Amino acid sequence: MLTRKTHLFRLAIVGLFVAAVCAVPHADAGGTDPLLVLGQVTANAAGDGSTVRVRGSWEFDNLLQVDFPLTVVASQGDFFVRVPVGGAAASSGTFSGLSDGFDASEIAVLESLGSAENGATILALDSHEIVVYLPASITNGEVTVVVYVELPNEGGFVSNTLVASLVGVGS
Amino acid sequence: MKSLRAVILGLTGPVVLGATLAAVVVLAMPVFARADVFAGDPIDAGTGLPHPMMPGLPLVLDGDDDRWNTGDDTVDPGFTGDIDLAVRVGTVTAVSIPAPSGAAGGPSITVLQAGGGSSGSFAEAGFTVLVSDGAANPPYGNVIDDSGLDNRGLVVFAFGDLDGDGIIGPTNTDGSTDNSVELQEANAYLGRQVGVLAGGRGHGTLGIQIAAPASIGGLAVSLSAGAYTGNDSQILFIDGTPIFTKWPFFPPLDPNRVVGNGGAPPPDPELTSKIKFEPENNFAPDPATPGLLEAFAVATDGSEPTTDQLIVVSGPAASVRLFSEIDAASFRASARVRIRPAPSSDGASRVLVIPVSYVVIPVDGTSTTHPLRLLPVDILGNVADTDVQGLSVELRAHGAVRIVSPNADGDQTTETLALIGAVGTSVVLNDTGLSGEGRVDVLLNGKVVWQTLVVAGSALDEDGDGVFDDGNGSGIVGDRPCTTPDGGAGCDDNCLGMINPSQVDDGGVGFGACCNGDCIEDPLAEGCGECQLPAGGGPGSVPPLDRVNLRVRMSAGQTVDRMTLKVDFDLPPGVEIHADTESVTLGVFQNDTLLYSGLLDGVMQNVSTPTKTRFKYKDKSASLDSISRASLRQRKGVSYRFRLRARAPGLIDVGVGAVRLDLQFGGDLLRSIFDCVEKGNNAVRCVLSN
Repeated sequence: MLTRKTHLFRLAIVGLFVAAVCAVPHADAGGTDPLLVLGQVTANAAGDGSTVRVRGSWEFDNLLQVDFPLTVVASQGDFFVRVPVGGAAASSGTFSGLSDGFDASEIAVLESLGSAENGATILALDSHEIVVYLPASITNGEVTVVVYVELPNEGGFVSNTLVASLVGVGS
Repeated sequence: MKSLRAVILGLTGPVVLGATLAAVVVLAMPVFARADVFAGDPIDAGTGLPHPMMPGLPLVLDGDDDRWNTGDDTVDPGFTGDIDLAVRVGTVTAVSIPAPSGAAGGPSITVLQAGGGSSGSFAEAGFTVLVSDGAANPPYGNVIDDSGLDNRGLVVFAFGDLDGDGIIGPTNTDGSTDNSVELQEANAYLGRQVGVLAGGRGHGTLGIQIAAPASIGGLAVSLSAGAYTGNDSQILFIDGTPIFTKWPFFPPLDPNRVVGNGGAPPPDPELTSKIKFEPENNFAPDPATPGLLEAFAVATDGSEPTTDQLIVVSGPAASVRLFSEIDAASFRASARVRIRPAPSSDGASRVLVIPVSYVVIPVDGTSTTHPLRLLPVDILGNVADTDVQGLSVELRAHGAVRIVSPNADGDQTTETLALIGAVGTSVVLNDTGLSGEGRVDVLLNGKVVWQTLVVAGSALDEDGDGVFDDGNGSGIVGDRPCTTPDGGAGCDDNCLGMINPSQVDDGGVGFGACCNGDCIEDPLAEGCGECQLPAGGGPGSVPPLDRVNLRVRMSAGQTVDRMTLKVDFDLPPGVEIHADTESVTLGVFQNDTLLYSGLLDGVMQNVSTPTKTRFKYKDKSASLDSISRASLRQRKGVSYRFRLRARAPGLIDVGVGAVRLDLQFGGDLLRSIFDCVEKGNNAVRCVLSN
């Protein structure tokens, strides 16, 4: 969880450099702090595997500045492919905890499972878009996508979950 | 200060006040930390604190509402900000503030690779923020190096000279047609870091995202800084006036908008921080105010005494993307649209490009083509130089799009080419004559590294919120994102895949608030009125048919037209087929003309076994849309095969070229676009194998 120290400074910096004025009222109704929100996920067959394009918001400024090991997880049932941004090795395996959702308390377990997956990689990393290449072990059907980050001194944070339909792999 | 403003205001729009405030300057400095920093600065009569000012700039006030751009901003050229703060690249330990990089007597400009943090590229720029006494001798002043401002928070922002004119921010010295691109330099910062002052200095490192290839000189990046000065480092906003180096705009200052009334301890640069940056809430100089635009413009040649600069170059080429060159005249600045410098296609000059992941192309044959650039990029998507061997890249077009150029192999669906250097190559896409979806895969070393989705046809509103994905009709989705004021008029949906008709985007970042996890409230109902996920749709949402074999024999002599069709497909998730009770529809299109339509409306017979789903239809008279036979059978798991035979005079007349096949079971549509070739005897054969 957030420490008081970190949380308060967040508030302070907001005050230095802005605030929102909108004709239509809006409020923070979802997501995490730090912000990890998935807005759209699409999956397409690509060669022998597939690409998953994730659009959303994930504190890109912090990712570029501090230890912010953002990780993308694509899963089908219990099977997962875990792809960290920033070049760390991807892995794949099975984790029964995925079938009923995924929360921050399960990050450590997930990271302890599976084996190296050389076929998975981050293809594009931007402030609001991540594109991931997944191996053929992610097959046609529904692909569940979530991103998470485990921050030193702050704890784990997990985004909302989105599902994409994947067809045409291996044909 | 409130009362003072009440007197001055009543005027609308940015107003130049002359020396109005001179008469109300409070000469006696109030007591607060390091008052000498503010010597000679005008005082806010309401708070007793100095007004925030920037060096060399006039006094700018945000009016009674404490917000910029609300019609009551004022500019008073009777005051000019002095130097309170400076930032330098690297670590500065001397008492006298050194000259900035590139200035006479200063160090040479540091060259750095883009990256930082957990991005996978670990280069970061070192910096030192220095509280200045503003003295004229030595030339850049001295550091106020006592402990009076210890633990006060600071920020450093990086801004890039995207157009290479030596200036951050808009300037009319090179004409005004490119002012929007130049505003992008101020609106889309390239990196930021927080820290604290200690002994009048703040040290840290800064990651920078955007860069340019070294072959075109890299990207000039300017550093600006701000810090607080209050008496109590734990309540920075209540009693502290911020001090600034020069910035290309004035950020919001209202402390009352700080949740928790501003009570906050010093920031920790090792932890995450949330700096909300909303360009619409910054004070941007009005081009109509004489001299103001140039006053805010930040030079990157070493002539600014308070800022510093470095050159940021792209990392090694690690991937390839399709880009589009931006049109400076129609470009709209926003924080989200990450434009990048690139060499022009002939390598002779510098252009700005945006990555293209989704294009819309009209179905009009060859009259409109879509020129793109295929460019090597580093891990952060910056256009990058390759090594001398270059990159071997393959393009593959699927569905409703073809690669017109390059076309060395005579096949408009594939192209293999070598990319050498950052110039890359030009790629021209065109439609197939059919509306529908498609995509271009970019493969590097046999692996797909980029996909550009294609919608051929009229503009699409994939999430059904009334705002077109490519609302400005440029063909590039996302190149002109909507902002709150103009809604869906002439702009692109700022949050694809979510229903947000208001297009609220938190101050003009160009990215919808819905996509940031916000809830757009409906005043007439509880809960979120927007930000819902659509039921479906979007590019790639129509599942493709995996294998198609269509044979059509047109009538010749005494024969009748015959059509045979064999289609293999995977049943999309969540879809069930009940061909005996629901309709099965087949459509064959060419040049967006329906050539054949067949309908079996609940007439197929269910002949399923306990392990396999099967349906069949047989009619020797071919009375239903000339269909004599049809079958649908489950092969394995979700894999199905559909077969159909039809015969009748004048049944169908398929020509050589692209054909689209729509196969629909109830409300579930599957679709593919593929090519047909002549097979002799007035026959055409069309094959698709994904």
